[in-house]
Amino acid sequence: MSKISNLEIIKEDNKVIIKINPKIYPLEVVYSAAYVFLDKAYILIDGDPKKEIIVEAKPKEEKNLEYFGGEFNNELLNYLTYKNFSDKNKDIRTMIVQRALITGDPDVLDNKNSFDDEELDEETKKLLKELEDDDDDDFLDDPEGIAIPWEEKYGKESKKENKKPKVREDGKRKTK
Amino acid sequence: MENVKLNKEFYPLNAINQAVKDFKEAASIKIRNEENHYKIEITPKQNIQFLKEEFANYVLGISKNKRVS
Repeated sequence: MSKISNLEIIKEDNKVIIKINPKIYPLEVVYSAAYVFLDKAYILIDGDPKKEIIVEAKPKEEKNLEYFGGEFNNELLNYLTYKNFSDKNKDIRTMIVQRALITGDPDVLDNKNSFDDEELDEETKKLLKELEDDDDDDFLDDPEGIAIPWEEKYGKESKKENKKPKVREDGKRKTK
Repeated sequence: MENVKLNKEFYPLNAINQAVKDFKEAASIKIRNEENHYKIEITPKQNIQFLKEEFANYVLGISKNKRVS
């Protein structure tokens, strides 16, 4: 069974060459993965960003080079996944930030320049609609009664417990 | 003197210049323009192990951060 690998181990120089397809892993993903390894290895990026990116990694400490290369591949996949999710949720994030920054200007709500419905996919449209329909007054509900002032909640009871002694006009305490 | 070649596609010149400034106490650095690479000539002022590798890492860090910002 043939082994598929993008790793080339050079034991004499204690380095591993990682060959990356830029059509699968964009350059920014390669940068992000390489950045993570800067404290563990000496990294050099070469090649052609359109055809094949070549990363040369030389661990700072003695390490299994194949394992090290595998770790780098894992990091590539990690950042690629992150990027894909980030791109997918970009519109929703922008809308959430816009909602958070909304002032009293109703024109901001009506401004459709930032979003063109035709550009959004169905799932995004559905989520945006849910946000728009969301009743913002939910936060006013107070099932635990936390917002009730203490005096209002306990004031009458505390008055009963902490009775002030009645005082006569001459300043002496009244007896029962 | 140590040499390292940095591919122009991955290491922008402004990042290299920034790194040269930051490394000026550690080394005297010259940048030579080649077709696809910048050839960096590093003459250490101090005894630092793996200086050219550290320099390349540093430039990579700056390059990545510039892309983010």
